Amino acid sequence: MAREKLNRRGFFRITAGVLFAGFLGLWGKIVNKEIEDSKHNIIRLPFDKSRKITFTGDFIIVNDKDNLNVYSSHCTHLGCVIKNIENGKFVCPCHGSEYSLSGKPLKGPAVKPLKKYDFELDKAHGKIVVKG
Amino acid sequence: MKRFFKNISEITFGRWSLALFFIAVISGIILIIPYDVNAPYKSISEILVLKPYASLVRNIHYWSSQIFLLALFIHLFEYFRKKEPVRLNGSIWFRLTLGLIVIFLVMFTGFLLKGDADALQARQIFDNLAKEIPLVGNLVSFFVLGNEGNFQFIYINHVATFTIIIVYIIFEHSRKIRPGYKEFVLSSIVVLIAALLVSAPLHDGFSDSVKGPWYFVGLQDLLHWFSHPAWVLVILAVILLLVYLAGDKRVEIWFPARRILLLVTLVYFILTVDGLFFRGAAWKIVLPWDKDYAYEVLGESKVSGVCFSADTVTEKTGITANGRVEGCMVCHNGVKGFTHSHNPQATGCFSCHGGNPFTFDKNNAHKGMVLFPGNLSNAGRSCGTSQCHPSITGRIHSNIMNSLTGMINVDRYVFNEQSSPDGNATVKDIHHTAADEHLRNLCVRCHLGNDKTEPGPVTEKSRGGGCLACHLNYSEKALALLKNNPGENGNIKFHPSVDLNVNDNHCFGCHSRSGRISANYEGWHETTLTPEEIKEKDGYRLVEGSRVFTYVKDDVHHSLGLECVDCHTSYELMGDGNYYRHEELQQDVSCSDCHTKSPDTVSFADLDDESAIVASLRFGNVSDRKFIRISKHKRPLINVFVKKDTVFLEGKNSRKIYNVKPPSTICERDNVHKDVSCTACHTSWAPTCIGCHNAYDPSEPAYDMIARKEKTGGWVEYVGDNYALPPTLAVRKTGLKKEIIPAVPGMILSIDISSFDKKLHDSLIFHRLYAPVSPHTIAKKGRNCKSCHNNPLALGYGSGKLDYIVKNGRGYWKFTPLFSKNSNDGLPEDAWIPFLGERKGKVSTRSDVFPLSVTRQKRMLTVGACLTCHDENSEIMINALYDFNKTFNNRSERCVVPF
Repeated sequence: MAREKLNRRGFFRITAGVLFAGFLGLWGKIVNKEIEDSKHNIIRLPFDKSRKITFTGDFIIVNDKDNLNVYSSHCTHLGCVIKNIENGKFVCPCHGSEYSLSGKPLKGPAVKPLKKYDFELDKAHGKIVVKG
Repeated sequence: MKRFFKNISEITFGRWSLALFFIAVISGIILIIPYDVNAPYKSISEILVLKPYASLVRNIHYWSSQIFLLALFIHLFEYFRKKEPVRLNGSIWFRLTLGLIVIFLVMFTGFLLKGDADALQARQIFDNLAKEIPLVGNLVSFFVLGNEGNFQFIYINHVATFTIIIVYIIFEHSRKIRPGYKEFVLSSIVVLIAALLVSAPLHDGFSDSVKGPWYFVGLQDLLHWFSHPAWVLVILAVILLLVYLAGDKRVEIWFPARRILLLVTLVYFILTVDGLFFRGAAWKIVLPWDKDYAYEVLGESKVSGVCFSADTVTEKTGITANGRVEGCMVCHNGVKGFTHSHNPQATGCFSCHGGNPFTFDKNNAHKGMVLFPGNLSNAGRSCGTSQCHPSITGRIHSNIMNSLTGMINVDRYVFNEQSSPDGNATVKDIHHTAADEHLRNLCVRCHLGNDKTEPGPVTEKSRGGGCLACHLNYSEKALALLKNNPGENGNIKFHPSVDLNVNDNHCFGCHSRSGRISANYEGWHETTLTPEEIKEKDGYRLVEGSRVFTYVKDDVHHSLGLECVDCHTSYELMGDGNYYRHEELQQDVSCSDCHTKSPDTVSFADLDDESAIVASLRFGNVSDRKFIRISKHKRPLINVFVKKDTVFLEGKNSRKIYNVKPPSTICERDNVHKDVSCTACHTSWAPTCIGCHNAYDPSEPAYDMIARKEKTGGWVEYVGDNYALPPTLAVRKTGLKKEIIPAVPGMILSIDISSFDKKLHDSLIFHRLYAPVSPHTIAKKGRNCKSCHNNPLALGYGSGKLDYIVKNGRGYWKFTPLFSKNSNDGLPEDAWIPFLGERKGKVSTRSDVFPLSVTRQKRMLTVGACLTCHDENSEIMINALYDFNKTFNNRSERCVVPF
């Protein structure tokens, strides 16, 4: 089979494709590094023993009957930040998903439970140390 | 003119779109100057309030882009309406279809660059939605949004990447980059008018209602119905495919594609209308006639026009709060009277008063404003916003001063509308039965949730007011200003303070009624005298201009200078989140928490945040204190602490320190009084009302305190006599535990039900119910033995003469009542039980409170008989306290016992 001669347009197209692929690869690497880095974040949250529910940025601290848990405040439906509790349920402001205080979805659209974080209690400083 | 319109009608929507895009680009370039991508929300608020010309440019940018999008859609449909063959070649049409994504991205990134609450949530949604795209999801998300909390990527994409792509697509598509003169001028005029009249929106940061840009509200509504957002992405991909196919040259493809597209557009339009006009916080349906519709759905219309007078503002410092510039503080700059924590420099004006913080225009700024923040009707969006006191406003509604559970259910019980006084009905459940009308007319006035509607300090006439009922204080300057400038609330230079200085006057208005504990505490007893009868007489006090009180004796704690809040905690007064059926269940502190030899303490480090903050605000650094912990609900008393085994109380307002003494030996020396509460012995007197009649008068001018309106016809109370007397002893049975507590004839009354419902078969209701009380008239010295054992009032027989008679070697008690017998039950008017008898059925306003049993009466009267001969401090009586049976069995032959 005779090899077709590569014209200038073809050359630019291939070059552009290679550059674009390289560009995508580079972006992918940066993104993956960002995601990986965020997993190793250590976050210190204030801990109020008397407060049953504390909303603090990306986290919800639930201290129910001495059972302490830390959940993500991001709705599992589309990530909106939950800042409110209504009638004993966490309510997502964007699409109305509801969760129990143990993070279990009670009303859709969300179907997955709130993400539960591992944490340690720093009693000396009254902090909750969450490993991102 | 006709020609002019003809010329205009000849302009295609494609040309309009180009003109509008051109305006958007130019205004966007200018907007780069005042906009700060590192503080987007603050810089936009600053533009809105202080930079009218920049605000105008922002509005032009906003309106030109929104109308551009609309015109583009019409252009698209205009194109689809044509039936002639498509002139565009396939690859251009493909790029144009993809270009729609870029157009939405440039619009959406513009929305995100506001940096407000809507934008932050929208960013989260985009991030999560993009990550649902297989393989390249993370890449797409990062490419558009960049790092979390940073707007640089979004900004660059908005002003450069996406804009350049759109320019390229437009040019390739139309071979034009500059709009025509006519459409440019006309578009500019329309956009300018819109920009002058209506500002581009900015979320206030407090409302819980979160919505995306109008063109994505339909998508938001759609997402609400889908548990798996990936399906929505599939739908969007299908729509995009339909758009592509709608441009196909083959009629068998473009015709169905266009029809489906039309249907999709119609559905999306319905979803958009639903989202824009019928959805509030948490995407709940809110209808136009619902309360808070304007606030929740329309965002209280914070869309004023450009205010050019803002350009004259010279004072540009001290007007930033909560990460934004507030226009309110420009005019109301320098207002004094605030506490440190409520200083406008910290909280701004909007966080309490609402309105529109993003304008300098007076009318627009005051639109939707809350004059009395702290009323429970608005507390959730004033005091209780997430940045301030949400944990308190979240629980205040359960507080019994707001729910009125005890009042409502006892009232219904007394009206025979329910079989138990322990119901769960709250003030929200009041309807129009006889009891509920009675509540509406007479009782609900003291509902904490009743709105304060007039400016002024809390007085003995004040009722309700939510947070303000306790926390509002007028300084002399603020009060003088109010008196001298009535009606000029907004122009004040001294703002009343909202603070922790809760004093007894805050409680007096409501608590000088019913049980009257506030008045009792100060030693005042309400009489049935009229103001005319006490003219020029000493020892009386006139309350609310008509109620006459006489001085009896104040509570020992009052005489020492203690105030209500020195004993009662924030969790008692503002609720702890639990609904209680009666006030004594919510009430927390008891005498023995402080008056104890073995206090339960808690260190500062172990205090809950609320207690720790309030303790520090009140007393400074108290980190070395060991605070008393209340036994009932294990909450701290932040002003009572233990130092070197001694309990001290520090006055919350007075800062005076008291040495709290443990109970005296007499309180703990024996076992026979173990079940007697402190208040049963130490209450010196209690307000005692007997003989009250209630009837409905259809001609009586009345007031419905729920509906808040005047009406004709209401319940009228015809009160009997009031006395200040030592209380009667009652038994509270909690499980197996029995406790002797004080009680008073709270409801010896008759109710003419037929006067209300006009049914002849409904006869008169008569009740003889006593009520447990904590009268707040504690005396240092407790009652003596005879005041209980030889006292008919204490035993429940009512006032009168109780004689122990010994005749023929036999002893017996004889009771001669003071009051005549009531025709309804034959008992003396003020009695609880018959002499040495019992009553069944309804006996008290609680299901767990009873009069003394006959056995207990006999035991007490046996001791009473002993006391007729033996002094209470005699050796025999003291011995009897330790082993009564032994002392009794070893009695002298001369002793004559009654039973």
